[in-house]
Amino acid sequence: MATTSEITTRARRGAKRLSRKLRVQSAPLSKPPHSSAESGPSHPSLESLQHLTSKCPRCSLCKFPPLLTVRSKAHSSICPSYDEYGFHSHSGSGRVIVANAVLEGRVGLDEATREVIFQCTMCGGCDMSCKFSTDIEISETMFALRAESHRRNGPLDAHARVLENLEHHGHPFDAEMGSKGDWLSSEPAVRVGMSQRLVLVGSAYALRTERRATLRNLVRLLGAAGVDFSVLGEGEPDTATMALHIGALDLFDRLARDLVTTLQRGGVQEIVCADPEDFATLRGHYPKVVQHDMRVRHAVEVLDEALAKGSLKPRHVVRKRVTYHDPCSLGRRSEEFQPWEGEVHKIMGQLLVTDPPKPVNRGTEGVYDAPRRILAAVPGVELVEMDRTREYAYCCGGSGGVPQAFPEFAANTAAERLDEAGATGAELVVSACPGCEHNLSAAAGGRRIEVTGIYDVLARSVLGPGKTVELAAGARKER
Amino acid sequence: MSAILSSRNIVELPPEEAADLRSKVGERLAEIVGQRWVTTEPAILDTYCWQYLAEAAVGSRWMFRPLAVVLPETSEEVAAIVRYCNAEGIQFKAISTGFGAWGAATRPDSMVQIDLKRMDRILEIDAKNMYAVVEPYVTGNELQTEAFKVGLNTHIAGVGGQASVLASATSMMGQGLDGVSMGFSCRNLLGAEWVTPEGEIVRVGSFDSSGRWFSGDGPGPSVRGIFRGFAGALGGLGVFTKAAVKMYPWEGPEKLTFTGTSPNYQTEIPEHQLSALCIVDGWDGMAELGYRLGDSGIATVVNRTAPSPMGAVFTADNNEFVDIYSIPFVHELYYTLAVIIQAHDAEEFEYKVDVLKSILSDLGGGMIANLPFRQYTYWFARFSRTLSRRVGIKMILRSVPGLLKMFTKMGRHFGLRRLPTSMSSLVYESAMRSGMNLRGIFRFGGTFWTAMGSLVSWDTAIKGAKVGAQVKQKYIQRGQFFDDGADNAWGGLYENGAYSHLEELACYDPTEEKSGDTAIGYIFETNLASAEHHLSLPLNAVGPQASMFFGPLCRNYQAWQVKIKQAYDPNDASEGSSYVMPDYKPGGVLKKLVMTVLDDRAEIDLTKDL
Repeated sequence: MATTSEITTRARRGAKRLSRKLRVQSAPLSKPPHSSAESGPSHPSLESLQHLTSKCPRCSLCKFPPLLTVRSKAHSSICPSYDEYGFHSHSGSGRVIVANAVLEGRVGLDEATREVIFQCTMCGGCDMSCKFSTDIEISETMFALRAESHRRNGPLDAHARVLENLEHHGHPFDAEMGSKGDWLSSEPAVRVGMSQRLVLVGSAYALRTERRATLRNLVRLLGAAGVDFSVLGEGEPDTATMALHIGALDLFDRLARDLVTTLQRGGVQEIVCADPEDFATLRGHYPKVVQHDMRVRHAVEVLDEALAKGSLKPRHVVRKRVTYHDPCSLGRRSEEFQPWEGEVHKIMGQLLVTDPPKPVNRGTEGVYDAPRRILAAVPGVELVEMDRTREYAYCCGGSGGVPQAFPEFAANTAAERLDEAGATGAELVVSACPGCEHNLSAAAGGRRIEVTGIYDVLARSVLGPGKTVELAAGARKER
Repeated sequence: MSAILSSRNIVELPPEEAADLRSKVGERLAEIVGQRWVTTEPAILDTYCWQYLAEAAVGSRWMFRPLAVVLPETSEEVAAIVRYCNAEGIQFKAISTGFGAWGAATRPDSMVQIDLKRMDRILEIDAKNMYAVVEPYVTGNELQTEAFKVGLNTHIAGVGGQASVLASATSMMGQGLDGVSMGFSCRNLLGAEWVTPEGEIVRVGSFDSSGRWFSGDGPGPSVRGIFRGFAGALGGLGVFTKAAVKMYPWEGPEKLTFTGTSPNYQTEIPEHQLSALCIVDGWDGMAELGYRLGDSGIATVVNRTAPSPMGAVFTADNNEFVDIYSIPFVHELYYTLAVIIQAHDAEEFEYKVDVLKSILSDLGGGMIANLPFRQYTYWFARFSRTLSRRVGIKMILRSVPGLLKMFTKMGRHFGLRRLPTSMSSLVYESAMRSGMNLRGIFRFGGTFWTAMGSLVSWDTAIKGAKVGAQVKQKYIQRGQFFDDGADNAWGGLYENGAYSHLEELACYDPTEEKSGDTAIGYIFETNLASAEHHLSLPLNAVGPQASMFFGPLCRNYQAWQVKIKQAYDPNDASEGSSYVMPDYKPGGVLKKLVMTVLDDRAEIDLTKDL
């Protein structure tokens, strides 16, 4: 038995001198934090993650919110995919195991395997729950698995069109949805062009007609707060989030570099994202590909700051019982990429440690408080929380390429989330994401609860009824 | 190489034949449950092969692929699947939350995996009669969450709150941290709906005659002893589709509140509840503390966790663990018990806490607990004094810099105001909600196996812990197990100390070549030591391999198991390689491994303390 001093000495000497080196991380993990644009993509590969994926004990913690946070049986799941499809393959653990099976050549990437891989909203709930206990990178593994699938077999049929649109129109939507500058026709005061602070409105807000009202409320609020900003209108590049989720990394990397180059040449110093999907991609994935020093914030952070400074004053009463739906992309998926270059070692026989210590994103550093402060600042609003909130919020089903490829799954997930929202007694479910608002609205037909954007609620209070762009009834309940 | 494989003549079907069989089975199962809920896709099947302890069972991380996976929704569908398997001469095995190699196939193309995920309802919580009826996929955490709302609590198996209540109650042992007040899973089963290995739906216990589930032993027929016995059949004797489990009083609020974020949540310890880490000096003190806690009847939880998993529970990752474990006294915290007390009102609470204080005073111990500040300080000082008596004041002083660093970090996580009670909160979360157990065992090397763990008197359990640690030391010295100081005995008391268990955990990296052999060697050697030192049947005395050894020592219980298996499962349809195999004969590889262990056994000296 090791004596006290032996253990102490061993531990204190540090990993390097004590250990048997397990494995030097492969290139992606050891890539410097801001590799040059010329050096090529540096997304973690499946191989580079295998030392983590092989640790999955199949304990099923990834299927539930962290156990201490569970408030009811009805809302005790964290994984929409597992809820929908039921097989273990459709949980976080299942996809980690599929990754191992692919790596070991046990299964190919045939149609059935690809369905398993893509029947997932990429919400990151499993990753967050797993990391309550471990450091297994489920989300990174799923991105790598999608990339490997795409590299070998290209996109699913339903995703091919999205990529074509990105390639040809500069956004993932069909051409008949119009131009990204169309919404500006009713907002003549908004400056179009490059500036130090650029509001990246995002393709979903700009092109989905039923979401444009929310976008217009956002720019009116920013104007009312005296925020100096501009937008790019028709020329706004897409962050290529859909390419990332589909696994088309070549396209993603190219568009990411293009976007950064364009914005840097325009003198942009701060990017304010209206759509959290863009926010999550810029913070969590761009640093793997391209170096830049532009500050990235989400619009709710800017509005929250304006409220704190007093440059926005909510005056009008919005007498509503409101529940806030945390978009995964503004919450747990929005954490900043933390580069790590190091080695995994074994010390004390079989204890796995990293040298230097590997930072772990656990989903807790997302933007959770700012939207709640905004809603709390609106007179008349009674904010009630759902059972699953913040880092363990349940996804709406509107992400990861699911609405395009598996619309029924997306609709069922939205219905589940609306049930949970309805259980709070809320009249309004508010979010800060056009994807969530769209997907939830589509499932809200026939329900008492309505769906709206946080910018809409704040605009009603700050700007008043006359100056707020009201959502069409169909936008609140699209079915 | 593996223990199971070496005992079987594995015959693989030619690929075309296997594909035809899979296709035929898939089609027929789809007729029973609908196409959507059946799969024969290799990628999906593989996710049922990757299992905890597969490296020990089959020498690989992968068990064998089942022919198909099927997700039934009703007992009738389960029965139809079972009858089909009987008719076709193929095997089946059901899993619920499905955590362990015993749930998976041990031969290729031979078995239908029944995944009970869709059967996930809490059917009833009868607050007046204090029982709950659940389907297979209801977890301990879910049942507890709903039970709190009606003033009840439920036993949760030590594997964690994410595991199935029914699987533990009907098919496993199911020891847990709350055993002192809530027994263990075997003892809490009041009744069950059982799809027998031939596909008949049988209801046992009082439900059979009264429609209520309050008694497992009549007036209807009680066959608990047959279908689960002491250790459970680990899925080798049919499928359980409903279970009624006994519930216990909960004196806390309907919902627990917490602060902070993952991985540093802090549960608010409810009014009239105490969460204490108690310390005494030496194993004799531990034995006395356990008995007196059991006799007093004051505790809801009495749990012993060794210093290393305790350090893991309190930290976010292994690197952070090393920082804490480097503090000299931390890995000397051997003689501690986590104790949770709950009371109905202030008066009862005061009485129970006074009893605990009295016991600790008598034994010269101390505690870190959520007490008012002055009492907290006093008992913290006693905790430190008890520790320093054994390790010396110099070690305590050497620990100060590390402690300050640890407190600074905890202060950042939890806030300075909460610092004094943060440890109590972590103990509470771990012990009351079984929400953090897996941190303490899987994170070190990737997996673990456990040994010893007989259900015996408390001082016999402690003797077993000493034996287990001495066996394990050999493997640690060879670098095959994580060096946890050898003592990683985990367990506690049951039913007010009437019996108890301590199992000896061993953590290792399952991706290392031959790690499965090492684990089996350790289990075999500890099993042998259990017999030699009269420690009763260990946890691992299950399955045909262990039964061959322990059966003759224990009235040939394996012969009864064989009779039961043959009577209820004449077609051997219910895959029983972790329960009993009537035709079992150990293979050459296993024999060789056994001989290796016998030639190189650890010396046990019970006079040695840790």
